[in-house]
Amino acid sequence: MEQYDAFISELLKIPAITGFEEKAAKFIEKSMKPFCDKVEIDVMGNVIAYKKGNGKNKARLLFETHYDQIGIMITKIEENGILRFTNIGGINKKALPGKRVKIFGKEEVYGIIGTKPPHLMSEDEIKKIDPINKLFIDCGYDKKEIEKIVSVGDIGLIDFEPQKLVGSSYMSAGFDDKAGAIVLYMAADLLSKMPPYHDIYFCFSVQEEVGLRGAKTAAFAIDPDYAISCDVTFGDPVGNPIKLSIGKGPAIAFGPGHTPSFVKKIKEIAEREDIPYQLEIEPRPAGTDAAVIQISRKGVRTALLGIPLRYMHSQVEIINTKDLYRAAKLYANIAVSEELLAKEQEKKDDK
Amino acid sequence: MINRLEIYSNINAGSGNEENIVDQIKKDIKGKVKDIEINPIGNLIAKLPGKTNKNILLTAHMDEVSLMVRDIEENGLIKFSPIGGFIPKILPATEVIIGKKKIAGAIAIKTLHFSSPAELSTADEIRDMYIDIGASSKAEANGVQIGDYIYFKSKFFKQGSYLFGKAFDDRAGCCAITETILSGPYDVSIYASYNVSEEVGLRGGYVCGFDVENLLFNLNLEGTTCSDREVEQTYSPSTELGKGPAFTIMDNSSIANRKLLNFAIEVAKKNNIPYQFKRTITGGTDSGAIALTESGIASISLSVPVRYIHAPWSIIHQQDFENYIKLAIAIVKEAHNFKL
Repeated sequence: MEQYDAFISELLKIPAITGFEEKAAKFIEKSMKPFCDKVEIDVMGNVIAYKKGNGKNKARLLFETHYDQIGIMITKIEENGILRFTNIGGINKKALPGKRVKIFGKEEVYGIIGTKPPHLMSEDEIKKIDPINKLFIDCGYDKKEIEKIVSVGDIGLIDFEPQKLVGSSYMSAGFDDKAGAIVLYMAADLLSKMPPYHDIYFCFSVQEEVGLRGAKTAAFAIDPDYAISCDVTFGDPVGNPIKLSIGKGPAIAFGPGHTPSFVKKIKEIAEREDIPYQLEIEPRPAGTDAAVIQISRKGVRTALLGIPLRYMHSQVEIINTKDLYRAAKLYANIAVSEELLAKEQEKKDDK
Repeated sequence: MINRLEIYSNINAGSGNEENIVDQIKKDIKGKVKDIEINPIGNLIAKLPGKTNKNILLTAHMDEVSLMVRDIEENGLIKFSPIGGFIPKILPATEVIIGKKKIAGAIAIKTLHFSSPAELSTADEIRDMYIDIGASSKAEANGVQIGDYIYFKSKFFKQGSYLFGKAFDDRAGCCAITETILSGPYDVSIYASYNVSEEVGLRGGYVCGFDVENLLFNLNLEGTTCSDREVEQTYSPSTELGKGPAFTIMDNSSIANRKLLNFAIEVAKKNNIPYQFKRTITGGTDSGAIALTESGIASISLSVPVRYIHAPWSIIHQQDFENYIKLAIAIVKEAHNFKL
């Protein structure tokens, strides 16, 4: 696992705010090159890496994840130099007061989301969580100073420092869904030692957080027979209706958004390979790229692997790196499984 | 000066857990002062003899607001209690460091996707919060002990003329005493007390003024509230950043000795050091406890304005900080001329 440390910490440090993923795209492109036959960045910013399969009856498999993360955008510079901002993607406003923000202006600049001192707050103010448009960022600077660095439209992140925790837990902003990107990277690495039977398209998609956009065009372009998306899912230890846990393996989703026969086979492979997994009920297709891939072109057989994560859409998202590796192993074993698709393939051939 | 603030600010030392800052201060002043002692409740007392045996009592507090581990649950989650005054809503999704083993974690936040609109617009209470260190069982959390101190992970940095970090309340004051000592000796003798446990009720302050001989007055060096960034000011900003160190005329704990206050203002004027007044009466400082020590001690507080005090990140102005120390030194230099 240590061999992935450098990739993980570097990817987590590169901002990939929805719609502004370019830097991360280049890093992923560079990182995937050694493992793949071809890597390209498409018009949307999706990074698509292709690895040729050696099977006779091979299919086109799409291994997909999004790599964009939620962020903020500066909307106004007030007369006294404080900055107003809005969210890009769903930010939990409860995670904001008092936190440090990094803004990507002409240079990187830090600001604090200001609050009144406790000594000056009324009872009501203490209890109330302000909407984002009432909050402000204080970089210290007055208007003249800050305007030299920051402009309206600049983007930023709630600041964080990726941090290894006890056991194999890891905390960072942006694990949604850099976790998936790490999984695909690990899977590509594994497949360089176990050649795939099928043609594999690794797709790192953009703009998931604002409506599953990158995956829509990528799925069209790739035209896969099968697709497995990897996204994060709810592993919160408290107040979590989904009842998944971090560290117990990726969650294989089932429900109308996923092809039952395909999901069954993925479970069989997981069992055969002794890869721990959990099951997630998804009663309606929504919320992940798998939902748009499923209805691409004439329809695609899809499945979804969820990486359990605590505190989604906050800067302190926590995952377990073992789950990432297990998901990668599952992907790799699917890629080499000839028998996996035999029946489906026969049906196709019959037509 | 700024380097010292960086060192002091990055040190973790909550009320009752001041050893780390004590060690640092000892190291900084030991070659300069006559003797250093730790009093029974932990105040660090240092004496710098002057030309006369008249003493002035310089005070600041070493402790910062922090949290403490109250319980470790079966599922590895950690319950905590505040040590000092916090607004609960600044806590969720804050990175923290726990105990001597420096276990990293974060104060948990209920995930957006499971939160009702009402939950999202109401602050959680501290008793309902917990810290997550990534553990899934009590066994995995065995690096954490009940009673461990918990600190914000914030590390000091400078941006333009602005200094960012935690614990400026009151490591700024600790710096001011250290710098004043290092710039001495003076006509008066310095009796400096770096106090413990101010944030839980001026504990160090109550005892620091006892038995100080030939005492002229107390200068208490603090960090104070600054709330000057709201666009629509519906209340006094308390202090304003960049407008100089602030004198307190009155707060919840004390009313400044007027003669002493006027004396200090004259010193500021004479030395062309900008100053302002704290313009809210909220909060309290060791000054309040010191003023009531024995048969009464003339006491004033001089503070550096701190935006977002008692929070993971605060901001102070470099010039305010420099002028604050300049003014503290100027007051000590002139102190022998003060008459009650």
